[in-house]
Amino acid sequence: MQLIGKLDQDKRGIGSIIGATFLVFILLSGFTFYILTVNINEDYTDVLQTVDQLDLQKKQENVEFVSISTTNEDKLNVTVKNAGSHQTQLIWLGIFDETVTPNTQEYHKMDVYINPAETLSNIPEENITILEGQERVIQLVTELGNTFNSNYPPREEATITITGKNCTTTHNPSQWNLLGSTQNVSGSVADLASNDSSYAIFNSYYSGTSTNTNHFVDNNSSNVDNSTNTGTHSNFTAVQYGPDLINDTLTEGNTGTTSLFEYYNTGDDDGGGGAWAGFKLCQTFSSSTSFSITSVKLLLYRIGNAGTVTVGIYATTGNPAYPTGSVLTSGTTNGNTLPTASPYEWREITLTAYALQASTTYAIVVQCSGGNGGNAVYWRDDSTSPTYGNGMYGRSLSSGSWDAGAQMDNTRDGMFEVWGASYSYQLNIEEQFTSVDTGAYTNKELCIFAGTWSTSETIKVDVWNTTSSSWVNVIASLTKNA
Amino acid sequence: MQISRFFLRNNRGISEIIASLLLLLIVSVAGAALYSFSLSAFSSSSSTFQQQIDQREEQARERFQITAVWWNTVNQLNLTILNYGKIDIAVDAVYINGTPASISSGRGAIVGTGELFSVKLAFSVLIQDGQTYEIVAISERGSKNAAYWKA
Repeated sequence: MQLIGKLDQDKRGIGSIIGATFLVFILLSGFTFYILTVNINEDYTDVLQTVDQLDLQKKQENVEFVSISTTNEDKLNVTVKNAGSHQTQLIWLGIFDETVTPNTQEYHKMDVYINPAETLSNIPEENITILEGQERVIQLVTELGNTFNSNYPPREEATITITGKNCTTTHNPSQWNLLGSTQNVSGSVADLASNDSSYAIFNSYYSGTSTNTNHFVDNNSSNVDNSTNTGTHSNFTAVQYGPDLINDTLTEGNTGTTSLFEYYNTGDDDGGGGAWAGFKLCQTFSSSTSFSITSVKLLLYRIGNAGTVTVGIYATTGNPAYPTGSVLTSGTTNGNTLPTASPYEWREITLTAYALQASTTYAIVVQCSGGNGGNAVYWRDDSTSPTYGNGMYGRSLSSGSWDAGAQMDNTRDGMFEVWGASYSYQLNIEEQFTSVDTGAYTNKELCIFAGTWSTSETIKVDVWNTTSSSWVNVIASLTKNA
Repeated sequence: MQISRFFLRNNRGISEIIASLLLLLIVSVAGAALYSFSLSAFSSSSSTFQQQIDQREEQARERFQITAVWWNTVNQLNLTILNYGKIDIAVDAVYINGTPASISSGRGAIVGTGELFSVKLAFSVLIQDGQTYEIVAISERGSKNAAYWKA
């Protein structure tokens, strides 16, 4: 009973003790946590201050290259100066070769301290070989992370000395005024600012009394281009005065080439007819193109002495066509030189050139008027299978008449070839000034007064450049009446 | 018989004692549990805070610089990086004009303070002669350094 009463009296303080104990624990724990947090923050702040200080020092760090050279043993020798405000520690030296591909790079470790304003040579301490003339980029790396680069060998430096004594001062114009008829051809004031390749170009003008002097071409036989003239003058003298209505008419020349136009030269199997006294032989023909006949070749032979053989070209009439009218063009050959037997001769008889029209039938007529039955010329022919379609063979009566075509034989074709030149008319005439002093005149003009011509063709006018030995065109298309 | 009588006469106070003891026990256990939980919570929070501060501290102590950029081979760009911070670093990524570059060598390598190391890149962008490129190196802690390179 006493015990229980005791316990009952003491239990009232236990709760307070326990509560106080817990309160103390809680306060201690909170304080501990607070202290811990403060310590962590202080540490972090210390670190930030430290690195900020380093960053500040890094910004203030400045190393200048005083010189980069090589010793007699080709060892690299760098001299640097600490231009910053703090001590600098060099920890790496880099050497780059950018002259090769790929670039090369090497770093050498160092441990060099340089005080502010101190200049230090013999960097690096180890021997690094660089041959004279080799180009390198030298890099110094500091402990604070800065890099400083310089070139070896150092870039060329130039010194300019300006002396004011006995020197010449240059000025350049700021504007110009053109007087009279002076013309500014090209350039501006800015082009005169310095002595270089930029200039201003002006044209002067003639202020005296101008007179005109005419010079005419005076030589139409020059040949500066070694090219034969094509075409003809009618009156070269007329262009050496005037201008008036007396003209020099230029006529185109035919530059067509000679070729065989009509022929029947195979199938010879017959002695043909004989031409003597009034007997004539003929072969009619026509061509699809116009041309200028220049000769004929006939397969001939003779008996006796035929004498002079005349070959003429005649117009034709009738159906079948037979020769008519007077001879258009003709030529002769010596009949006495013809063979009397096989092989017979393709004798060429040259004719005065004569223009034959396309699709018009003409006749080749052979005469031997001085001959007789024993002295005659014969013209070979094809009497079995003649195939020439544009004419036929024929022999006249003793009177020379073709009996209104009855003497033409469409079962035979004479052996013949008709040669001529195609038509290609051109004008290529060279005329020359030989007595003109071209340098004595301010203005020079080339004048050509063109008259009238029947076609729409134009004329090209060139002048000869004696320097380049070539023609230079001055008028591309000279039209008539211009 | 005397004892029984004794207990019978005094059993009215037992339940009060037991109740007090039980109450004391409950309060003690609850207090201990609460204290333990609070301590654990404080400890965990403190640890997390410590880790965050440590990370910031490490990142603050981290410094590196791209000292050189040069051609190594025809299609490979080489970066030389200096660790001038107060802690080891490792490069995790490189960007050329904002485009991720493929690191063929040097990624994740631990580099001590004051040391140089090389990072080789395979081009991920078209390099043109005469063009200037921004090259950014990122460390594993998230620090970065940029350099401008003229091809």
